Amino acid sequence: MNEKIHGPNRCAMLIVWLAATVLFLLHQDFWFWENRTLVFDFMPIGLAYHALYSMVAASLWALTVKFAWPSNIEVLAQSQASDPHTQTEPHLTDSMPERTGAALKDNSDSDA
Amino acid sequence: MIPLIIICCYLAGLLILGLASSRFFRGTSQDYFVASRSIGPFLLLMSIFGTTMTAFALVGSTGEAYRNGIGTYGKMASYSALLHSACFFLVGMKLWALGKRFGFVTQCAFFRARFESPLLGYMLFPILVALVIPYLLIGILGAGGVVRSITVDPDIALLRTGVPPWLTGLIICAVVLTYIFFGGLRGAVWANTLQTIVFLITGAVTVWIISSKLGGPAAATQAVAENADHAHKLARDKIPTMQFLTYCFIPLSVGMFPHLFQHWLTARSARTFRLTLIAHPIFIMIVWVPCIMIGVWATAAVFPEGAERAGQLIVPAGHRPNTELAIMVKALTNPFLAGLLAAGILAAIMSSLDSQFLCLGTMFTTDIVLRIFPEDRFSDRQKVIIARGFIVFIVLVTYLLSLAEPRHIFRVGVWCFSGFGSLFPLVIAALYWRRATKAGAIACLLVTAVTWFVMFTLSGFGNTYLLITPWKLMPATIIFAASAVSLVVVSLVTNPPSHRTIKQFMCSTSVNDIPPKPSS
Repeated sequence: MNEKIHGPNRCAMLIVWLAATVLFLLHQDFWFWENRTLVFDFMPIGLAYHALYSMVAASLWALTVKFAWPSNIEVLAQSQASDPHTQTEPHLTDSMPERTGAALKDNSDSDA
Repeated sequence: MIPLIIICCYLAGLLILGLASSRFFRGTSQDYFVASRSIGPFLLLMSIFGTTMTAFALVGSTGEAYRNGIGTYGKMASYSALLHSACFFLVGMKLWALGKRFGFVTQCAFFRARFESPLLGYMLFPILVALVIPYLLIGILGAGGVVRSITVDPDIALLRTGVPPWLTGLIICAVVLTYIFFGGLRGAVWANTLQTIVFLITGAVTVWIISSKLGGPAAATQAVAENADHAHKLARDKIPTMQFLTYCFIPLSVGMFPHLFQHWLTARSARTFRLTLIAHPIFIMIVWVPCIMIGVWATAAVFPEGAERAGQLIVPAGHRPNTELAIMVKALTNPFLAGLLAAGILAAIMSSLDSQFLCLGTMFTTDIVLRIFPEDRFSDRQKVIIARGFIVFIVLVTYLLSLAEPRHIFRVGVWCFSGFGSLFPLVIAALYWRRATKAGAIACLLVTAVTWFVMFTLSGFGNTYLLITPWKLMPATIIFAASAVSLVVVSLVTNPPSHRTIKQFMCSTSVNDIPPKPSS
């Protein structure tokens, strides 16, 4: 089998990079620097702008997750733990040695 | 007395949770250090967010907004909204994948393997520990300041000046140590999840109650606008634009936090990161906006009519540093709510301390002890005990430092983050630049450490910002530049790593490129 796992869509990633760069530049909001206008009568416009900025950043990441997700990341994670050429570190084990302080439990999968 | 009782109940609840989480402990060091890489999306979001929201985010931001106004949000929070998720996407996920592939549990292990350099691991360890200590310190300082202010009770002799910070620090450390000793990182994840929920809810309640007591958010802000000494804090008149810009290096620190590295490794899959990428910026906003508003309101907030000190400033001039939030909570809420809100603040603080404590023990065990002694020299139980011993030692050092003259949490935090942020070129190069070399990495580390230390010393050990004149740049600008330049220049004039190492660490896109597992 010569399955090819694709990385993120290149065009989508380019758009993400551009959008992130634009967003980074928009962070320096000199146009509101000394502006003391209040939004909704209580929030200074400089703070409101940056709160909105945070929401736009979240939206950018949502779009990234949807359109530019790196599918090949799971390929990189595939275990080579038994391959002697890649085993360079002392290994922490999944064995069940003696313990202090708590009873041993079955190895049940859980979200926690 | 009521706030103290509530705080004690909260701490007891945390201990019970920690003990309960130990029932799910699988008894292995893999489970103790990285929760067997089994954490799902919701818990990963809660634990990562809880870990990154510290005394810096609550107590520190309020204090900084009190001194310098709304610009505090733009300096840190909105940059973090963009750059934290960028770090999770570019660095966190890839390190998770490599951690799963090769079994790493610490950064030192990753860098050691990537650059084929045991020396790099030995050098990185003390630098990371030295930078984590200020991070621990702001947690202990924050907890001490908040609890002292909230628990002041003139009717009880022992509480006339509140619980002393040295006692709060001791108890906080003891509670956190207990639940991580029993549950390891899984215990910390559970505790962080609870604590994140607690401080999100109590934070929302805090700002609503405080603004109500000040006559509503509009009235509270109007009071600041009418105050000639503090009206400028509704804008950024007094914040240098270049300082504001160069704060961008600070959020890059999440790319090199050792405790975040360990949390990333707990993820069950790459998809587990999706919720964190999207929700983390929103959660930052939810926490920081109220804190900033409270800090700004505190500059002009006075006791309401009918109160004993009606018309007087709630946060008086000359107040102790890091106490603005606690003073406002104490003055404007009832004792029951003040206790709950204090518990919420402690929740944020402790949700960072637990991960930081645990990562120190992990690093010491795997990057020092198991490198010096043969792998089978210690059983898993002994490895855990060694980790705990080192954690206690570092906590003791930090606790003793907390007894010295207090610093502003925000400033100490910024210095700490500057150090980690300036190491960002190292991790980016390790993940994406094939030409990065062992010598370049070592040079980067040395230059960063020396530059940071010199500047930190010149600042009076975190007492000031030390802006780089005449452009008023953040010191992180210089340290980051020195780090990146040394890494690039030295890498280009030294031999690259082996082709085999590069192929192992740089992402493959073909399943057939992965060596097959040896047959059993």
